[in-house]
Amino acid sequence: MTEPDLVLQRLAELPLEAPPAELSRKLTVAAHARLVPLKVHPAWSVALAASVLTYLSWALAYTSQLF
Amino acid sequence: MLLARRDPRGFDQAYAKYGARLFSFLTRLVGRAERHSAEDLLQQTFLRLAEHGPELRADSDLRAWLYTVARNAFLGQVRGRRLATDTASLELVTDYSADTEARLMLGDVEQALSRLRVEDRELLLLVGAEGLEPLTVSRMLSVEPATLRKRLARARQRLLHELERAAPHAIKEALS
Repeated sequence: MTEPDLVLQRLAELPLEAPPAELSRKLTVAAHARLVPLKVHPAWSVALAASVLTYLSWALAYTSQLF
Repeated sequence: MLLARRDPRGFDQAYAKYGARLFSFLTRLVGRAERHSAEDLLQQTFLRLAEHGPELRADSDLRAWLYTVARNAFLGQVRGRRLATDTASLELVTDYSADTEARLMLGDVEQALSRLRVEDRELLLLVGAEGLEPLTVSRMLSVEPATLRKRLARARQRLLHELERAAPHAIKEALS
């Protein structure tokens, strides 16, 4: 079994291939963007809450007119 | 684990540690003539890490996870192209023979490796070149450890045969 072990040893000695620097840069930027969630401006939260309240008010007013 | 907290430094550490290793594995798996495919597969693998890395358990084997993702991406690409993997390998070998520059760049082992069936090549790369434990590889490939040992022994013999065929005297000297 000496020969096969030497074959694996030759494989282990194969040199490392570094990915192109430009690829690494683009990949890192894209990965970071996926990791860090987008920060939403507080105004959007207020706008969303206001639109929900407006809709609920309208729904309540509309329903109360039915009876 | 930084990655679990979605800290980009966790990604950077993983990329610094495994980026070149995975790229070497993928380049040899797809063949040097398909280097751009290796780049695509590397991107897919690490973007998947960015998406799913934060969900990984603290005791997960990140290296095994990355190789599994890379391998699955490769298999998906092969299926997508509707190429029989053996035919693809043979075509690539024909390209190498015609390309003097590529031949000069490749060592004997790498050339012999590129002539093997993709299943043998993958196994030898994972265990031999990447140094993954056979037990880990058997889990990755969903085969019994005993089956993996047999397949590995056969793949070694085929690689040795290819090496001998390419340069019989040099290989006998190197391995004696």
